[in-house]
Amino acid sequence: MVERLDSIISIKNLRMSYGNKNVLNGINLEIPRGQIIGYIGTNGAGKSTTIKIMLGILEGYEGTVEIFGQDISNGSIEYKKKIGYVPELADIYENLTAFEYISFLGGIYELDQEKLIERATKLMNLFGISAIYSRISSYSKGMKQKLLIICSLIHNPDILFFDEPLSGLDANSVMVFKEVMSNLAKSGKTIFYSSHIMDVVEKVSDRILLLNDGQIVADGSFEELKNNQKEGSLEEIFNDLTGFNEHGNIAKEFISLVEEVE
Amino acid sequence: MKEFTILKILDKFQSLYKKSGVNYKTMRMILQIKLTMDGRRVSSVMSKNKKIDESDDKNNYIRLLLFNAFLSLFIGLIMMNKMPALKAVNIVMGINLFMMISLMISDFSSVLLDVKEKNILLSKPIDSKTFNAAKITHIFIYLIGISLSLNLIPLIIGTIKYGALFFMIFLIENILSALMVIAITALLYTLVLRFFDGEKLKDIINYFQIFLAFIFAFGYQLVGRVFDMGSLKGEYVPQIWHVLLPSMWFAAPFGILIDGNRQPFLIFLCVLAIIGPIILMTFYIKRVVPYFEKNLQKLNDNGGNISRGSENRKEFIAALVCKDNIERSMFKFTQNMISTERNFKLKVYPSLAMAVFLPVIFMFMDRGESFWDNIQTGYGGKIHLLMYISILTLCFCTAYINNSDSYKGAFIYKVLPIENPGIILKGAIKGTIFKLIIPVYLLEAMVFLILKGPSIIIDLAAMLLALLIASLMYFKISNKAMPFSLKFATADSGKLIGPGIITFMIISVLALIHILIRNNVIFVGIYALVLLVVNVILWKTSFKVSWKDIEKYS
Repeated sequence: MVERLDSIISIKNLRMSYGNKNVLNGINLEIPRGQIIGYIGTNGAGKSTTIKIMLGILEGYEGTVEIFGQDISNGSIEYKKKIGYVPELADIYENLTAFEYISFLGGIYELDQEKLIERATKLMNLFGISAIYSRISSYSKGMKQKLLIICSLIHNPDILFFDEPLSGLDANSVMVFKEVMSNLAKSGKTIFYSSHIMDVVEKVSDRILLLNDGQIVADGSFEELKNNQKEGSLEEIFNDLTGFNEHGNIAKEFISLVEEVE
Repeated sequence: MKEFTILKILDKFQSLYKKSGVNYKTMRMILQIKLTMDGRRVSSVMSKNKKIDESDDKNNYIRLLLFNAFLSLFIGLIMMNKMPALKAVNIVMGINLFMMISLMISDFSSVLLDVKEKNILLSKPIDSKTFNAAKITHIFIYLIGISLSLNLIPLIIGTIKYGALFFMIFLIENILSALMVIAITALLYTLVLRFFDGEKLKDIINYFQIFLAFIFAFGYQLVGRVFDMGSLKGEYVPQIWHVLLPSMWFAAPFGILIDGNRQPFLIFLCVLAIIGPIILMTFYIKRVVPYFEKNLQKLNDNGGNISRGSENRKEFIAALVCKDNIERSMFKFTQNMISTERNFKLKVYPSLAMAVFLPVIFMFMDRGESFWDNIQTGYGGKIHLLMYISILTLCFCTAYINNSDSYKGAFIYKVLPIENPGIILKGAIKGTIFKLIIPVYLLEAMVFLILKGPSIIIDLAAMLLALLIASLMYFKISNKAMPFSLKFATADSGKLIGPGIITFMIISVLALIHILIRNNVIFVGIYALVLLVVNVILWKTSFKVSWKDIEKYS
């Protein structure tokens, strides 16, 4: 049990700017093993930036980021063997077939090719995809997303970064995926879950982090946030904390503009 | 996945990579998927049949190589002349470096400046050294092919003339020069990245390309002069500024070993040929790459507004040249797209720059007279007809209209109520002509007008009409899909060789007619009138295209 309390991700005073625009203004975060973290915030709040920094895609930040107790700026890429990532915009080599892409990943992660392909095929079948030898560019949005999810898990990682993983998935697959997530967490995996769909975040997360203007403005379980803010749903808490209460007026004006066309 | 011969050759050099700390196994895997992808074409939104054409892109590259081999025939002719090996190699290498830099900028800048790939690869256990090694090697594989195909005939002729020694040195030098081209280009881009950021940077890179094209076009004017300034017998006289010419570095070993010229200065140049590329490459890997990659991120930063320019003027021109409403909005759309498409500009701007510089280069070719005398009396007093060379380069600007980084946006053509796709094509070509071609032409015409007086107005008008015909023809044969609907692919230039040759012939014929009748104003007037009629007919008949025709090519 002692190990469970250790931080698997530790971020201290993280700042990042693009030019003179500050995106992250001092983020502090300790994440223990086996949690599902719901990471939410308005558009442009810095969610994807945080994730890309942890993945080592973005450099030039200030502060320290430690994953598995190792400072990621020390140049070692060892920690990346134990993390999986579903990117927000389905970035993938679309000209390859799913088979080619997966076996490429297998090579990079140094997995046994034969078992890998067998496993991947089975995983794809469970998600209802049989076209493993077709170009990824011929896939529908949902199929691509499923493939990305499978690719992020193919090497049995300890930390998962899911950036809007449900986009394009049908309701049945969403149910499967949610169940998979909670089982992964139970077996000790840490999941960093970033999304705009509040009801899902509300249901799956052990802990919710709300990012606004590059700072964490709320941190706690849904129950705790609810008690603090005296609001009923995560959506309302979100509106409240980001200082937004205009939706009625904006919608009215929107409609009147649409109806200008005769 | 497919095994590539080139990777097997690369395996022989793996210790080189391993020594510099690259994970060779990983790099090889990255290269393998990159080469696999290069051989494939992305099916676009517009295409109906999902059957994918495996061979298309690869053919483009092979076509480019064949074309280069054809060009190398002419370069080889230079070597047939009786001259010292030093001089011959200097010219051959000069041409080679120039061609490689141009292709590097237009075709591979996008590979060098790519930021998206990081998202895919760097979240995997791949260190940035290996990532960058893969990137450089990928470009290198293409460049070495281009370099060798360009030097094919010179290599054969040289070997016959001077023996096996020539073959060995020349081959090694090809590798060194390709490495140098990559290092120099990246170094220069780094300088640009150092000083600018965000949206502005993207524009700067384009201006920078024009500048590079300029440097190389003029720089290699000097190559020929290296010998002219010496004694009449063509004997080599060392000059300190020869140190600045990489082609002289590469020529030096031949001067020493084949011509038997033992000047200490040549030995110094020879040493430069070996350590120059190595130092540049080491500097690039050790110092530049880390810095480059960090600053490359700036390209993602889309901060700041794009200047809107004068909307009223745009609106006015659009209304003037387009009758149809759909055509007019396509006209404006095209102009806006062109001003924001980075890859498009990367490919087109260098040829715009060449359009301006080439006539100037020809003006000074082999003439000892002063600048002013040259303008007034050069080429039989009709020096402004050199603008046909500009016309040729300007036409090529329309080549990439059907390519775009955001090619997926092309679904709008299907969604919008558009009955006649020809209107779209017409708006797009007009937009391009007014955005890129006419401004450059007018600028040049103004310069000649000021220098030579109003007597050349009719010549200028005739050439403008010829330009419009040639641009339209080139557009017709090179662009068959909808505008901005196809993805850019590596070695795109290959597919343009056929259309390029046809347009070249059309313009040659027009230029020849014009030159023959140049001294008779009435004939030139009739010539212009005929061109006008041809223009009207062509513009009226060229856009009868149906959706079926379009789908065939998407």
